Amino acid sequence: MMWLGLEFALILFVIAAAVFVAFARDIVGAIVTFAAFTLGIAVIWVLLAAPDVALIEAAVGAGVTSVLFLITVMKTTGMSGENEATGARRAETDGGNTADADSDGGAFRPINVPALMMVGALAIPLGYVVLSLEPVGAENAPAVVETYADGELTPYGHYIENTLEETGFPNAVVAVLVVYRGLDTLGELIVAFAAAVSILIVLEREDIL
Amino acid sequence: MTGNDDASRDVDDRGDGMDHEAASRTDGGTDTDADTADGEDVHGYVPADDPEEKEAVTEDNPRTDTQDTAEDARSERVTEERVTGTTPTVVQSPVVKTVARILTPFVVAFGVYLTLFGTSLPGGAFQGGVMMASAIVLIGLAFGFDPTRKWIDPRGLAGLFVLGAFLFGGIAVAAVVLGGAILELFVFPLSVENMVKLVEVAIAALVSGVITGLVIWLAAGYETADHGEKANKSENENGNGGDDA
Repeated sequence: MMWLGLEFALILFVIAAAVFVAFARDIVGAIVTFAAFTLGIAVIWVLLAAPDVALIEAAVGAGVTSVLFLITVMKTTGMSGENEATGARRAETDGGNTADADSDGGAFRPINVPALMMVGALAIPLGYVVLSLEPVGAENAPAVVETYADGELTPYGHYIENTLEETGFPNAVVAVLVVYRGLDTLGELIVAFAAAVSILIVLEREDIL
Repeated sequence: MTGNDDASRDVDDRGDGMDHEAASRTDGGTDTDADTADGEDVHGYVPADDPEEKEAVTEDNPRTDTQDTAEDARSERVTEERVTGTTPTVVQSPVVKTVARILTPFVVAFGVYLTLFGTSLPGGAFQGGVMMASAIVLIGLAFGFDPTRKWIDPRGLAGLFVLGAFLFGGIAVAAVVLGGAILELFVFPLSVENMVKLVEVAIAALVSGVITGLVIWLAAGYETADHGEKANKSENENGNGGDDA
């Protein structure tokens, strides 16, 4: 019961943080709130018994992505430690800036109605799909050991049942990533490698390679 | 410093520090005085006795004028932000620096732990690699990305992800050479768990190198001082025209 209350509190926190990120006018505040949003999602992953995903979510989502956002802000609009200076500079630059022409004060942006309708059109089918899934831990949820009609194990069931004896270690997530689906992981890492090399080329620093 | 001086500095560009230097000399400010005041100017506190930090601070902000009081430094910082549009990219406080110093070894150790024990416990190479990279990102946030970039050997960083890619690719090809399918870990003399750990080390090296490089090099941006040197150097080597530099 306590966990249920914690989950509901986390979900409310995550939704509030997402709404704040969408409408906040202070972009640095929005980035920090986005990190908090991702951290809330990470705790929800832990409560859903997915610690591997939670680790990635916390490290990449809350950590590295936020830092990349901050770097982007530093490189474009500039970031200041003092709100007064930011507000003053923003007020000065707003004169010729049509994108922020609607900034007649206030901490939040006005609601963009067409965008809200698009989000609703996306969110309603997604919500329908989520509600049609089996609850977490249900007997017939696909993540639990499952067999086909002829008694054969499905892939999910195969990995959960046989990882330990086939590979010698119990973490089925790592077993799928490296042993069962190693080629996919290799392709993933080639993409990451190409991304790093591309950045060096774009910044014309490929001489360090 | 008087308000008159501040007003004159409003219209001055950051680049011409000559008359400020002359003014500081007539004020009787010594060299060390100028350094300390410069640190106060940028970061709001006197830097510690770490020579690297002081050097980094002066490289960040090559002006040499002196400041008499903290209020002067503050007001000048604000006015200069308005004029030039450049802001101090990091707010460096002793609290953040100390916490980063203490936390970093634990973060790296946790990353190694996640990488090596991912076979039997929650974790894995992606998580461990990102965790190790986030230690460097933490250092960059606390001490500034420019000093961090100068502290890290770029060839070592590039070598990290090149090594990871070649180790993973080498294992994939070696499995074929040993008579199995590509990446079939059962054909190696080591046990599957140890081979998985080897692959995990390769993945962690690649991921940590890529993410550290992503943050460090993107934070450096296109136009940096040493980039200009390097561009000129490669230009001389290749004989290309440097119209884009």
